[in-house]
Amino acid sequence: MVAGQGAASTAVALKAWTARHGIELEASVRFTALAGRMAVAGAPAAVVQLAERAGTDERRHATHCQTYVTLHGGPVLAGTQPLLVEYAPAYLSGPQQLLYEVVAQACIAETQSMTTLVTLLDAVESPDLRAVLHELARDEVNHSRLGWAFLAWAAQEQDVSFLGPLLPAMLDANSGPELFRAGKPEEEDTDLFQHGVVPHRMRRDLYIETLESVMLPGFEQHPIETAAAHAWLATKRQLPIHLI
Amino acid sequence: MKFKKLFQVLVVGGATLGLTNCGAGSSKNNTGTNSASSSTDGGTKDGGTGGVPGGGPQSW
Repeated sequence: MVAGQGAASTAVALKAWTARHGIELEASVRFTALAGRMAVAGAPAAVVQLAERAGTDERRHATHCQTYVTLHGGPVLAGTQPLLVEYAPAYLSGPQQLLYEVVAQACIAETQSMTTLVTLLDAVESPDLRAVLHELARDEVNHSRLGWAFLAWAAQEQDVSFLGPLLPAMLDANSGPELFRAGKPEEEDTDLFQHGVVPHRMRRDLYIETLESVMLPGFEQHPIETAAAHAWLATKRQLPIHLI
Repeated sequence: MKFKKLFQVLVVGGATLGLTNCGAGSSKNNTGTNSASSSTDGGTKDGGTGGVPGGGPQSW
């Protein structure tokens, strides 16, 4: 390792864990709200219970993020409950909006988190960090499954084909503006694994792999047309970063 | 397929969970409406349902 590289990767990791803290708190609020809406919609009790538990899990996850940040010299982060953020287009019906929110949160965001955690568990050596990642992975399995469970149930109750053209917007928001750009050198440092962070290029490859081997086949089972999502991915693949 | 096992656990297992528990659900009115989504003021940061579709960011 070159001089200063360790400090740079620690800074990258601190930024990542700080961002995770906020995302976990937002997810906590979203899952709690979704659980209530699922119950009103008549979703299976087991699925509603998983969503309720996910709301609690995510707050605990935020605490783990704060612990990491504190241990590495970062600040105390705002722990107040964030406002509920929802993304479904206003033109959708009530049941469609609920399904949209569940798919965006659980089928997409949580499924992506799951594959990232599995990858980290293969690489991280610290027993303490591994214990945290194990705990998170155990929870995230259920957070993702509840989404696929709700989608399967909803597909029997309503036409779910409206989701197909909306998948690119969900993926765009989930992947964020930076995933498909070139990473900075410090973001590619494999030492990041030991901080619980997947290096940038690998994270992008992981995102694509998860999309192609888990999420899109999952949507196609219901069946939801994935042509728009495949086109979105093809566009991302044509960005200059993939020529480097 | 690198994540074949995850596909089975998450997607297939999730679908089984959702379908085998049908009928064990809570209050079944199937309206899907809820006060939490009643706002239509167009914002996506204020708790209202947004006019621009999006989704939650990737945490991990």
